[in-house]
Amino acid sequence: MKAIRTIIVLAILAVAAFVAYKWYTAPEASNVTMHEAKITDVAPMLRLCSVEIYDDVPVKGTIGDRHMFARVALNGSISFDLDSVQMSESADTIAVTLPREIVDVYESTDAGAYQVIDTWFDSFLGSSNFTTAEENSIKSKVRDDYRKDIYKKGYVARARKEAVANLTSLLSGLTGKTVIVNDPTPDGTL
Amino acid sequence: MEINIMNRLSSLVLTIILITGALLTGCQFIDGTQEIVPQRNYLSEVKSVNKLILAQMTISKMATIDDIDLSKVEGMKQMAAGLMDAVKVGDRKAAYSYDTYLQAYLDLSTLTPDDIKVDEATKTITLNLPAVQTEFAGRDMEIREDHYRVSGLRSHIDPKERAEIKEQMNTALKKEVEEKSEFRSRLETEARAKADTYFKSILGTDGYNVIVNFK
Repeated sequence: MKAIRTIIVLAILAVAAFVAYKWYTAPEASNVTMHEAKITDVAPMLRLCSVEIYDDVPVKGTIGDRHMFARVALNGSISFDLDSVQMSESADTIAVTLPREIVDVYESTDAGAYQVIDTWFDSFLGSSNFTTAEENSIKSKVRDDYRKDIYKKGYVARARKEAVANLTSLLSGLTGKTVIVNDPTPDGTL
Repeated sequence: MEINIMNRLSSLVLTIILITGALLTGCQFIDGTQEIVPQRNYLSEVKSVNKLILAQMTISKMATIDDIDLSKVEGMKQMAAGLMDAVKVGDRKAAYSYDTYLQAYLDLSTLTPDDIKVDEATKTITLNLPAVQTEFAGRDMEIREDHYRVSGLRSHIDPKERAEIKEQMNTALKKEVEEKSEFRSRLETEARAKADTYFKSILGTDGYNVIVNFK
């Protein structure tokens, strides 16, 4: 009798172990289908980039009695379109006017760059859900505010100053002429 | 005697099932405390660079959400999830996409006076530029909702789920770009052509023949 009991116990343990093994080694239960990435545009450009910014910022949004809190990692850059640069050349001098800056702010492609930490609502009954359009509008505002902060913190002024130095060095090194880079708006144009 | 053994046996089976269930579902909460997920520290970095960006590629990635098709399940987890989906009332389908930007650039900080050579005899300027490099500039903050149909008693797709999907899309996209060389090679070709045109226009003004090489 004892032998039968032991066999039954061992059989149950073996089945449980087998089920656990199969469960852990099984593919993840995913209902998301990934489609192949597509190249939608390849654009040639000529931009001198003088400052890059990486920042983690909070995303806070409220619509009615619904609230959302998330964090996002941003990649920013300040660059200058050299295709539109104004140049005038005399015998041994090149005069260049630094164009308006281009401030790009993107979401980082680093792992975990965007994390929604909490969504909640104030009323007793209701839903804390945000639609895609609502979430996008909150994130757009965060990006627009961040772009303004880039100007406020003086990053644009710094980028323009460094672009003047970099462009002077590049053009004088290539042409062997005296290069004067004028900056009509040292603090940039928001 | 037999009844006693049967009782003890059923108690043993019940215990094993409960322990297995606990192991499978929630061992991290066994002491009653919630698992703390480590968050990345908030950081901020502003750095000076001297890059000449020559081309940018826009890459679009799409993902769709749908119930698991029972005829295509692999393994127990998908089978369990598929069965759960099958008994739920209503549909839950959506498609999301967003753009990621890959850019090609020259690091001008590595350009030295030795990289430009002038041969007055043949009126030729040879410029040795640094190698074209590529990097991800970033991705759109917004996500496009190309399709959304949640009906019956199904739950809406909330911001947390969308963020998780975007994370999966990002991982898959980066893997594709790494594995398929056409993404970077097409961008690099475009960048080299742009650099060639630009530097020839600057250096060739006094009737010099300009040769642009890349390291």
